[in-house]
Amino acid sequence: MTDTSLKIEATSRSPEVHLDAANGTLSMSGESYPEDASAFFGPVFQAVAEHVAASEGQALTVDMRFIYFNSSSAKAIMNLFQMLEEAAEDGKTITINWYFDPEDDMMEEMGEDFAEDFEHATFNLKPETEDA
Amino acid sequence: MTETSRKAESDFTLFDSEDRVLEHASTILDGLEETTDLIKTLTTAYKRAVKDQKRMVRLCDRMQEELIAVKERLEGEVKARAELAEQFRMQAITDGLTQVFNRGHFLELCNHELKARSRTEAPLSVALLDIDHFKSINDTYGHAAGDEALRVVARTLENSLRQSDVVCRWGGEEFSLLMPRTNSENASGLADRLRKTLSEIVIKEGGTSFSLTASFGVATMVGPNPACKATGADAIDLLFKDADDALYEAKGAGRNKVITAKARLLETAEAVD
Repeated sequence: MTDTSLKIEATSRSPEVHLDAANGTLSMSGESYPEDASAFFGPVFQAVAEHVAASEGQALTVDMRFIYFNSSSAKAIMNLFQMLEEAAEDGKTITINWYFDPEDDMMEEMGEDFAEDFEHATFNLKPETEDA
Repeated sequence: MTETSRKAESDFTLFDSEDRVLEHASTILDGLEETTDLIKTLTTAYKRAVKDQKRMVRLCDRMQEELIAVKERLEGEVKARAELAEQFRMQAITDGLTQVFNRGHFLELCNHELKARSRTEAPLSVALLDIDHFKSINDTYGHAAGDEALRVVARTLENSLRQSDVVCRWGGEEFSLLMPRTNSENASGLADRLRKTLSEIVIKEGGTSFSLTASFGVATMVGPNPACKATGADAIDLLFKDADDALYEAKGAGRNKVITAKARLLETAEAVD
């Protein structure tokens, strides 16, 4: 089995991304307004798609912790979620945890909004205080 | 077999056009199914696109609202800072108790006036005034009464001066006046009017009331300014030394008086003469 892991360090404009193929986890956290959203998210999609294809029978847990994201990043997140929902529809066990600061209404609303798209994957809204 | 094919051939001959129509219709129907599937796929994609668009519009609206909120908060902060900066600026140049200029800022204005008269050589007058027996006001009526006396004197001076004149708290119970473009005679007259006004006010504090008097020393600078900048500050110092000497003389002569020093023709100018 090829290792499809991916690790991207956070910058002031882009989130940290970590796909741990062995443990079946994907995490994204921080702020997201990269200069070129396609260039940033392209390799992430590719890695996730390859991992999903190569890890039949393995569950995937996705942890999202965003402070802020711009419109392009929102579109990228929607595409990623669609890909995950389709994989779940095909039988893969997928859990998505949407972490947000309880004082951040916008992130909460976005999470609630995204939650509506999932029928096959599990989507959890997780309020999380910073010192928790 | 030959029989069958012949029969089929004959059927074919009889219903040739109908068969062709049916065949054509069937082909069209097959195509319709394909088209329907395509339309279904397109509709699904379109629904998803519409949902995405609605979400993006909501997100953009939300972000704009956040931006407006941030902008308003920033504007409020900028305004508060500007007000604070102005408050600090005023505090730095104002005497806290009397709210007239402090000595530092007053001397800056004096130097500014000195520069302003370099071409016109207009007379420049100053006056120093000291509240008579201020210590006994404090001793008799208390420090709060003394503070109120200083405030009332400051306000009275401010209200009685011309627009171009400046008053400051020189220190303790002493005040100073700057009278640009005012000759010795007019400065002396103005000082005497102020002396009279001050002697007529009644100060009320803590249930008691009292009046006070003040002594004035007036000095005037005439002729050209000193040749170099370094002696400019000295020229102002000399002017106030003259005013201080005159004030001392007024105190010696029984107080509640205006003494005017002889108009000072600057030494450099005297040397030219």
